[in-house]
Amino acid sequence: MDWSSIFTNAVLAGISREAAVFAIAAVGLNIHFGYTGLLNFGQVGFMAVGAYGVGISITQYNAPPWLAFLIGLLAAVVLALLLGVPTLRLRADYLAIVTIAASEIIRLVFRSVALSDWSGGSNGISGWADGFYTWSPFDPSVRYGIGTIKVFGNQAWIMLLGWSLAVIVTLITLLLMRSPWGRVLKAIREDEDAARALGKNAYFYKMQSLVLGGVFGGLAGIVLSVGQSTVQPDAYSPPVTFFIWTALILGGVGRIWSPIFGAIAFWVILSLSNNLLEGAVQAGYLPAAITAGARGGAVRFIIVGAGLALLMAFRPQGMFGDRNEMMLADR
Amino acid sequence: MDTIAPRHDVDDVEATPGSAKPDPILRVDDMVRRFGGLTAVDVDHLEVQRHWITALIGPNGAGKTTFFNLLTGFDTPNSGTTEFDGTVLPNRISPERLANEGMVRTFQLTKSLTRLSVLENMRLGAQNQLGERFLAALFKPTWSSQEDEITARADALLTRFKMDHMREEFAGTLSGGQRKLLEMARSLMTDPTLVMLDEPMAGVNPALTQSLLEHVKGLRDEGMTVIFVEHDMDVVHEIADWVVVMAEGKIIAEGTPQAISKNRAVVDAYLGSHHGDDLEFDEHGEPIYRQHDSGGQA
Repeated sequence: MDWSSIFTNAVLAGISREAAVFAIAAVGLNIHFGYTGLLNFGQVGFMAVGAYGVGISITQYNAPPWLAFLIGLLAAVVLALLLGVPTLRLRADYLAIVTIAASEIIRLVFRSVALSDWSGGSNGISGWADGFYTWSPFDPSVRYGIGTIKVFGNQAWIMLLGWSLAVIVTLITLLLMRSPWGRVLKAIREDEDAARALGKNAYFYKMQSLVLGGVFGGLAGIVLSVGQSTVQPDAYSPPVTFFIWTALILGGVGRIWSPIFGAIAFWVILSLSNNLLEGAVQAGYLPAAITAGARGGAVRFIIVGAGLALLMAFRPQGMFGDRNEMMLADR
Repeated sequence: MDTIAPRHDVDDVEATPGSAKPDPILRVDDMVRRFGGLTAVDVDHLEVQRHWITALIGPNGAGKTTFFNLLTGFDTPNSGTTEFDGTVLPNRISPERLANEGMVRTFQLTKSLTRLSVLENMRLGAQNQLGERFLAALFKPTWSSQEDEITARADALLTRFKMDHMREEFAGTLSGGQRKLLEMARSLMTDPTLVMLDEPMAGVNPALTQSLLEHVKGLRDEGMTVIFVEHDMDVVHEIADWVVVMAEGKIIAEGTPQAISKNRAVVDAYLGSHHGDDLEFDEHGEPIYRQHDSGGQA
């Protein structure tokens, strides 16, 4: 087995722009679920409106990149308000149902034939992201990195942007959660009626939480689409939401740094399981039938799924969680 | 707590349902709450005297908790008006606004915020916190001095409730009685004028009951008004200045604890109006109901 290439691939996966995107989106999800107790099963919907907000405003309305960026974030705010107004007065499960449905509606609307002149149908829209690369200090034709771990200039630029944003949103979350504002969110997570009896407008705070986490989701979508230089509807399908949930749970729900490390762990595990599987088949340790055709991809998700099940059984608090704290929630 | 807040004597207040009080903090008129065909609460008139401890008692299903929820904004009456501290409240008012106005409540099933520390539970109770605004929250200097004041107040209250040694523990690790204490202490952080306690003694061991009772009396002595729902008549006798009795959604009696326990209507409400009678039947085998003049003193 080629251990050095397995290692290189794992590191590249861990620091990839996808991992950064997952980290940013998971920070948003952590604000929703980890701190406020809001069940958002449609984080990918926020990513989609962010990405399409940027893509459409550049291709259709010739907006400069900075304005398009703001429009993308604003689209996430609008989506959060639309979802929150009818559901946040109801029990938490209603938000879960509405968000998962909304994220699919968004994807299907953007890929619809009727709107293909505007949003590009199932092909999406591409060729609009160049404006985001004009500030790049890296030469697109040069590979940057250490040893065998190297990426081209544009890729390096997106990774730098993505991870900087991941750290910035994490630091914002850190400041907020150490403030009285964060205390109100946690109180709502524990018991909404108790918070209300103590004079806190729970509905207003849940709305703020939904908007903030949704904006982080939109930001993640923008980074993803700029990194791919295209916005394509099927990149925003429901499984993405659940992969982000996986990353969050791996790291530990309700912890400041868990989204970043959870996202890295998720992509490293995915890369390792894939490469180890292939390596083992090539070296003859495993029968070739396991990875024949499209099976390899499915088998690696089986491995990841089994790993997650074991994690839930033996370390339900994730990498950073506090087990004692977690157990208190069930009392 | 050096000076005890003065309070009006109970003797010259008429002991009839809906009687007028010299200085009511809360006045309820024609409050009705229906659930489908069931009228859970139907209160014609009630005044709650300032600086008194008023007990709200009644058999199970009398509508006490529903009435409590209506008063504290957790439920909306079908009709009725409430006047709190001289101002008429809108029919639909949120609990958070009532808390801001000085009316705070606790819950029958204690709502301690389990994954917050005892201290954080306490701090949450403080009103008008600058750091609870989104943008200000990002800049600690804007709220840190207020936070220090809040922490000092919280520590003082924790010391008074003898919970200061647990300030860093998660509230979820406390025992049931300690949670009741924490909930009461936390409600005081809102700086209330009217404290509404829903079964504060339920599930608390006798040793802790005594200390809880002293704390409730302490609230009155500091100038707060207390309304509490309770089942245990010993507790009512010990701390209540005034007792309001509900049955089937209506207020059927009011008076001092001593007078109430002799009240015929109250005993009937709890035990049924035929208690003590032999069951008699007419010639068709139907039971004979005898009329009692309820409301009179036995």
